[in-house]
Amino acid sequence: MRKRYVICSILVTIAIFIFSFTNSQQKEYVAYYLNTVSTFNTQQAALLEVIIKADLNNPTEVATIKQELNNARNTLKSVDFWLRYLNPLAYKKINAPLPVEWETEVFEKFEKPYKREGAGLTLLAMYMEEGNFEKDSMLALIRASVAATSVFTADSTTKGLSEYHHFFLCNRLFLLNLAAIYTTGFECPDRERIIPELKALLQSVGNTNEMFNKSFPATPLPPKYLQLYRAMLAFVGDQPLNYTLFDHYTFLKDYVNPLFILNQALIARYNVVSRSMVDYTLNNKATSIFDKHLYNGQNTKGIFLRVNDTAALATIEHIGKQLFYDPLLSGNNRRSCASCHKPTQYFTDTAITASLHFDGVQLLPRNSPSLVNSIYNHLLMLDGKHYSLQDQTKGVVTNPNEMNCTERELLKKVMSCKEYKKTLKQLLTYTPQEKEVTFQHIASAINYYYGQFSNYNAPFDEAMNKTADISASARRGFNLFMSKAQCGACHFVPQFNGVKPPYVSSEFEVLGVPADTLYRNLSPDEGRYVINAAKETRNAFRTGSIRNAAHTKPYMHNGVFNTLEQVIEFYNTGGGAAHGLKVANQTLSADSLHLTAQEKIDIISFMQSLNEQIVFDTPPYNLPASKNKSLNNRVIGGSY
Amino acid sequence: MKQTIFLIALSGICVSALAQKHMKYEFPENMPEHIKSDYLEQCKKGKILYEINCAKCHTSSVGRKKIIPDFTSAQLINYELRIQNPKHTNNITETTVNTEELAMIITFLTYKKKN
Ligand code: HEC
Repeated sequence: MRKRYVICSILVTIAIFIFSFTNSQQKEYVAYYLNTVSTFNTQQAALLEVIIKADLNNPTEVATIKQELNNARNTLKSVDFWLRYLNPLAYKKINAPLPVEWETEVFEKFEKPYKREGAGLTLLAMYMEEGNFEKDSMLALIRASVAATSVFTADSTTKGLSEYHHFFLCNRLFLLNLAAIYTTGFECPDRERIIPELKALLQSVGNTNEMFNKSFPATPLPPKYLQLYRAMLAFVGDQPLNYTLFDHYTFLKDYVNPLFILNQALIARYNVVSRSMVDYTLNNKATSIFDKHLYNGQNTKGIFLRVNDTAALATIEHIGKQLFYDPLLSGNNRRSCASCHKPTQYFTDTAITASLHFDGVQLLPRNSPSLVNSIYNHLLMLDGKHYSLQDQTKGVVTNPNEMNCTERELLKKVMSCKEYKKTLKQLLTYTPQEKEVTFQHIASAINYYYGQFSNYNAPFDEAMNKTADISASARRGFNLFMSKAQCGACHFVPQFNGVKPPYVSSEFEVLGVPADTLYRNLSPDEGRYVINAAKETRNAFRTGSIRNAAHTKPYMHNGVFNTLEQVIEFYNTGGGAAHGLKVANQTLSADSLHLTAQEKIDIISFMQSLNEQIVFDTPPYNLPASKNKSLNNRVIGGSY
Repeated sequence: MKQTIFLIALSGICVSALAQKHMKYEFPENMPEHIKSDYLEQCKKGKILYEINCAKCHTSSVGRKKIIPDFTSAQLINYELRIQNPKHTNNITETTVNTEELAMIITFLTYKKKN
């Protein structure tokens, strides 16, 4: 009895010892974090000091400010890993590039978009680049940044740091940003600093990794990860400092993506759980950055979202396909979804600049976009009018210029067809909250049908996943895309659309697209302004994906360009503003990119490597018969 | 097979929904009638969606009576609910309950008569 008592108390003592030991180890990690944040603050204070004292007309003193700013930016790199994840909003006061943007994040669905201005160290760097020295605004920027930094030492922010979970989630975001923005100059206006800042960043995250492993021995980064990380450091160390000569392709393929894959496996192995909105759309099961399911964009199943039964899904897909081709959906029974989104033409219409108006004579103001990969957008339509695919479907069928039907009329016509009615009624068992078939059921089936065509990979994905290779020209093209040609700073890896890590919002840009190829006028389409009127949103359009671009001509919102060469030339010159159009708020630099003929060819080769190997299907043989005989001579796919 | 299990589960839900057919709601007195009836519609759908998505963890039984907890409005914030705790992070995702549905569940939980 006594013996047991003794053993018991020994065990308890050991447990307490181990517990307090691990606890103090974790304290070490937290202390390291706090220390690094404090170094960053000291550096910001030093920067403030020199700005206050500086004579801005004296070039040597301006050079000193620049030096201090670079130091501050480098120390920011040592905390970036955490700050970006722990509080994205506060982070945007420290580091936010121009232009001013209206952000619409997925959790803002029921709120208005909010305005994000340039801020902090990045904006100051921009001012310095442009030679725009105004002491008060320089000081205001840094003071706001210092104030924002204090958020990161508050208990509410640091409390998650004593558990291992946050680390793998911070790391995931870090790796995604390595893939998408850190090498493109997205946040680094001084091109010459991009690779040096990258090196500083990689170095300090390397230190953080070691500190983490020391403090959390039960859930470490395994040797394989650390080894690969060191190899990445060595690789980057040997790379040229010029970001155009930097080998973005190998960096992503051989280092960043494999590290991401290992980190995803650790998230699964250690049962990492998120308590942050940052991870909202990220999929823990994604096995690569180039896995089409990396993040959740749109829910293609709509109201059928909880259906996982394969037979039921096949039924939904089957009627979705029939409905997609069925002109019953339009007011005059002559137009279907397939009228403008031709399934054999990547679900767009390559023959016409903009789609036909309902009247069959006029053209609509915009080109019909490809539906392929539209499911990876958070906002739909070029002006971001809709939040969900189902809303979009409702928008187009009820638009008097497009399909000109009403929800009620459409439902009545669909339910007049025995086959539709029977299937839709059967599917009601999956949506017990709805007593009757609704428009949502119909829209959801359509969305599920065409959503299937977004699941295919392109040769570029296969190259990144190391199952195939792409040509040397395409590889050079990717490197240019991410550097000198500046494409990657708006068309983000991996979907090459306007959705950047952590993939919760869609970006809009003002390019100054002309109304015609002679650049006589700016396109009169106001774009995003119609939805959210602000001076920054005039003529802004949601950034589309460049996947399959070689197959989805014509280009731009109004289909003004017919070849990829024309599009590249447009960017190469510097958009509408560089062609003499008045575009007050162009977000694209109006400077020439100075691309050579070979470079343009390479960029096009890269875009071709993004042609997905989609297997398109053939139209349905027939459409369900209606009780209303006059509907039974309707044309599959519509007549115009 | 999966389908049968699903259907059995569904009919179970329907039976329990029937058992509680007389769910009572409390709307603010000054709420206009048309809004009230709108909300009532939302509540009814919200209740069914609650049974599918939340009841297994939140509904408790006292004898034959099922008790749905009274949450405060501060606890019922659409997106925050999803990451409230690890169980939620793993179970209340966009692929199991979408934003609109979660809003209906919240409407239901907000206006159902307090226990
Ligand atoms: C897998 C189990 C599980 C499911 C499913 C689940 N919850 Fe929870 N929920 C929990 C746990 C565990 C807690 C924490 C209880 C505690 O803290 O005492 C919780 C807490 C809550 C809270 C209180 C939050 C707070 O601020 O303290 C609310 C509200 C809530 N859940 C609503 C829901 C709703 C609505 C659904 C359905 C959409 C749902 N839950 C589904 C397990 C679950």
